[in-house]
Amino acid sequence: MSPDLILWVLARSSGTAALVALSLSLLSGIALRAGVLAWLTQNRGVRVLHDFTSVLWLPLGLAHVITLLLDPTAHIALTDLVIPFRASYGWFAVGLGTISLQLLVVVMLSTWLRRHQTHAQWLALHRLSYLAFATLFAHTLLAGTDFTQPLVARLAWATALILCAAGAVRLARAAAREARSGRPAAAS
Amino acid sequence: MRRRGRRAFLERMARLPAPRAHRTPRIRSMSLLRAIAAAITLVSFGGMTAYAATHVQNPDAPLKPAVAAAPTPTATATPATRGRTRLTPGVSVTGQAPLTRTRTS
Repeated sequence: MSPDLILWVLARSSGTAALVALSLSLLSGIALRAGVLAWLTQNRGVRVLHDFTSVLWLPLGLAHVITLLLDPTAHIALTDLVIPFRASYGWFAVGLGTISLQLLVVVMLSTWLRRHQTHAQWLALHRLSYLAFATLFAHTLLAGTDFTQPLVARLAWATALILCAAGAVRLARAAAREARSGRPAAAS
Repeated sequence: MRRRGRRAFLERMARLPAPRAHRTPRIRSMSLLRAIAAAITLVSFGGMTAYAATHVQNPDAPLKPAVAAAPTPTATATPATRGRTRLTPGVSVTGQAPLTRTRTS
């Protein structure tokens, strides 16, 4: 197998695995407040899981970006990581990937610099992860080579449905807390 | 009107039971939780690597050309012969020994 094809295979597999790890991260993040994983483990375990998933998705996401930068067939330049919708091939799909990458960088930086922010500031930035995941999922559907395969597509949509259901439970419980206390819930 | 709808929604939500911690969570070990998350991610990475390596040229690939772009055949102009066709013999007599034999030779 030529180096070009090795880069191509790694770009595909690291992208898919990064999506899986990010799905786990989002699910554990929602579960921290919604309690949807209470059957599996206590809240401390969910917190540990949420922190650990960044160790998983961060290197995989970096590998996805670096392999596509090095792959000459993909035609992705360094400027495409900064300015979205500029790529010559699949400009919209690649642009969504750029936006999700930038949002995830903001979320990660805000997490690392949490001590230097107020809780409200951190919360506002951390909530960008929902938007980041939505754009990432759209990027996956539009640009993902293997997401036309029935098994992979079914797994991806099932994951999205689980995350939407967990998000709905999270919103309902936040509204219930708000109703009980009589003031807006300051939940993450 | 909208305000009343929100109030009714919040009242409905307030009647929902508060989430309670599960009495016996199935996994207590933090290391096991990390191991499960790592295993799910690594299995998906390994599986996709194996699949992509055996399906390199995916015809549905939106971002990678499915096959190397073949040169499109282009018509080349042949010099006009002004209606005259010239035939040349394609088979010529040779002095070399025959490689095969037939019944009649």
